[in-house]
Amino acid sequence: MSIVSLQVGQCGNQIGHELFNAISGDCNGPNRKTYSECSNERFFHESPTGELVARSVLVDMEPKVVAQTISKACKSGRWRYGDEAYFSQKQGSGNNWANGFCVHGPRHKEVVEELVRREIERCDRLAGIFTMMSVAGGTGSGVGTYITQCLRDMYPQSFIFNQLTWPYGAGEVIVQNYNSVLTLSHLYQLSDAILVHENDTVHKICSRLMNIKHISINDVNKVIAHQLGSVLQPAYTADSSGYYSRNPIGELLSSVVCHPEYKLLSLCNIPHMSSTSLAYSTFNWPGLLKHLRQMLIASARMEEGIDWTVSVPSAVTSGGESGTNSRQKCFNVSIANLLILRGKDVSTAQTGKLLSNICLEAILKNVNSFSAWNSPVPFNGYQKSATLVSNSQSLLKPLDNIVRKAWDMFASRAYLHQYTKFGISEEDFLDSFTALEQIISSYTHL
Amino acid sequence: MQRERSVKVKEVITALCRLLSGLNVESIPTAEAFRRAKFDRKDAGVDMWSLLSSLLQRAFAPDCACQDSKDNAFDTQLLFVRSALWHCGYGALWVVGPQPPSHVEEVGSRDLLLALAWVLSFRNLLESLLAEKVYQLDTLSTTPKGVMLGQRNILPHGPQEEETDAMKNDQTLQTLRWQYGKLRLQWKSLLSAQEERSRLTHRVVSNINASAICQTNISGSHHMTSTALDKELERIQTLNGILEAYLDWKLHEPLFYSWMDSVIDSSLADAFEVKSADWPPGERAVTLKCPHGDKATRAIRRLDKMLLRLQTELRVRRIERSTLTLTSQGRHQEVSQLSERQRIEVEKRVAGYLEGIRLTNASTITSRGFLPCLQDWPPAKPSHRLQMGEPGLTAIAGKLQASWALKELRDREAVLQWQLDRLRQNMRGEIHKLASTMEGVVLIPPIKR
Repeated sequence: MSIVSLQVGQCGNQIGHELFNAISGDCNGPNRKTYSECSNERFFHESPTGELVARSVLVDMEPKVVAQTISKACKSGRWRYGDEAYFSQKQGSGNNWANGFCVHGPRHKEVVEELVRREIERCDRLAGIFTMMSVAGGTGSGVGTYITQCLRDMYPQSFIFNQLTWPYGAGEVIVQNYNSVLTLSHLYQLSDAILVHENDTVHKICSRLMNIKHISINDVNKVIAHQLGSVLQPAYTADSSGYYSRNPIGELLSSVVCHPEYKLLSLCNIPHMSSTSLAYSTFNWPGLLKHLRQMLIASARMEEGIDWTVSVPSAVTSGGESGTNSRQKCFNVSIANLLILRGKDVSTAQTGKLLSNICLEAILKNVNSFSAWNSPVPFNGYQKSATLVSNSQSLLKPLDNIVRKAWDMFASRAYLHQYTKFGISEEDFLDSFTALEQIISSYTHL
Repeated sequence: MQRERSVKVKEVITALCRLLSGLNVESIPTAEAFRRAKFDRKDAGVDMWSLLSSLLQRAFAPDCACQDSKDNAFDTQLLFVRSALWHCGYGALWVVGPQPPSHVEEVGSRDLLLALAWVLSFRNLLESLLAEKVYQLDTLSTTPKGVMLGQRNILPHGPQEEETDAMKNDQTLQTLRWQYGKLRLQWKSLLSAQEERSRLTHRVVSNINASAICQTNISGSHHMTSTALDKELERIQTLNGILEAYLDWKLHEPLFYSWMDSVIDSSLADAFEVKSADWPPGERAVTLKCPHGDKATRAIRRLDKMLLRLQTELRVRRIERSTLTLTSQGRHQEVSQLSERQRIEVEKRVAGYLEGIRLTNASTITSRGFLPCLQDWPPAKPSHRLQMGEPGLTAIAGKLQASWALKELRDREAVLQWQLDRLRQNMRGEIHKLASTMEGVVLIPPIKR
């Protein structure tokens, strides 16, 4: 059972590298033989010389990042990328989704497909295809979307799980909102689930929780990789009956994204702290879970600044009248949640009592919307850590922001010719806007 | 060429026999017996009989109490086989006729062969036998736990009383969509687990084979590994053998049925030569009479009448119109203009109605379930395929030929397509009309990939 990763664009490649780094580092340690065996099978295959080779394909339209990523991986000494598992070009996509989707994607379709196929055929069992990319630039978003589309056609029965990095709200690229809208609307139909990381949130985690003074893109990526790793590393699930789950992505999806209209996942993870203070801190499960629960219902993405006044509306818990008006304004309604606990004494953590009653949701009353995984092995240096994958309204606001900004630009026809010249018409834009409005409305009316 | 074909047939039948023996069906004859049965040889009768009866025994063993009807109890066996065939919907005369054969030898071997082919194609009999067998052999094929666990919430709890119906419906719908999505995801998981299992099994088996060869090659000094492992190996090999035989048979299946076509041909040819003096004319066909035959003829007659009436009406109208134009020469221009505009539309509508009428009546012929039947007189080109679910009947005497039915269905499809297009166009027009009245609303078609 293995996950084939796909790193597209600068952001995707950097995050991918950090993810593999975190995972390979996490597997070294005492008392974790089965754990690391399982993890290695998931993410690496062994070369004839016994080295760990990541089950990953690197794609970028520029040579620089891919080359850097590969050489960094080689230097780590623990693992490396496959010798021919990368594809790069010279000229880049110029931050233009249309260029990536309509030009680069189709042009290099065969090569990339072949690379992915080779990785997939190497697996005894494909647990899923995990794609990492950003939505702001041109390559990650455009080429990434195109490749996802090809893979969906090639592997209609496989799980395709996309991790997207949303740009800073303040703006990295002038057309980032266009690119985001086009990517999201297309991926929503192709992918089984979309896991979103917002740069703003992660940046805040770095500055406030980890006390990093000069935050580099590497720090941000490390946090994202840590969160991803805490989901994807081996864990015991409800169905795995005493073994590490052999179907991580499938079980993840079937616990949180069964409904085709609701595919956006957000992640929160506690604790996050700098390695210096980590040595002097102890945690207990009730405390962590209490925090996590409040983060969920108040839609806080990190431990600090949680609004403790938000509580589960009594109207919902009592199951009486269930209308949006009876709810508190800030209460974050969720459809389904998956809790992953890693660390010591994980079996003593009382998950059910704390978290089972918060996902009450009018539409899906009779659905079991809470599941929990656990693993006794501490993850990435944290004695205890808890991760919550949640399908909830928390992404509604940033999504709405993106769509609104993009629409404002679209209304004044700004930069539109850059897209039409590659074959993305105004109608395509309108279709994408409609699709996203539909998603927003679905989540709003929970 | 001829020789090549006969070799092929032998191969096909051997594949079938191999599969049947894998499925624990007893008394399987040689391929030669099949060939002799095709020519209705007496000596093949016993072989075919025992094969047919043992196959039916295997198929219906769980359902029927009559066992141990082997040996001399041919009467009970005959009764069993006939009722089993009847249950399968096989309507040959020796099965359902008024004068059942008193002894097995009265049934020709070719009849038995035809019955056998019928039984083989009946309701995936081979597949269900195969599944049963695989289930026995395959220790790993238990129902996966995840599915059972996942379904624990599938039954909705008692609905809240104060909720309105609309709310409830919406909730139920959403819950259903959720559960359906979950099932789909679990199905995908199962599929990938299945793939993994077959891959691993393949690896294990190939390793075992290689090591076994090595062991025998090296020397006898190595004792064979534990008997449990041997047994396991044997089990897996049997399982593989059966699955391979099934695959082989699936490959050859179309050939087998085309060979059966030739058996039917020869049977029909023989029957023509003999000419049915023994049978009263009403029962000339070796078949049950099609129960819908009468209805079909009636429908056709009704259709004819209706067509005639419409034609006369049309003619009357045409005459009326021509006289009208003649009498009102002054308004000739206007009339013709009007008719030019409306004529096409009216014609279209009339054509639509005609088609509709034709279809509602004609469809009774094709859309009802027909019992397939064999015929006694030789058609120019017999088109029977036992394998196909609903073989055609000749149009004569209320029976349908497959090609005819096909043509009919194709016509119908075209008309329905045309109607659909028209309806779609109407709807589009209406939507446009509606949309133009609503201000500030832009209708955007769904996103295309």
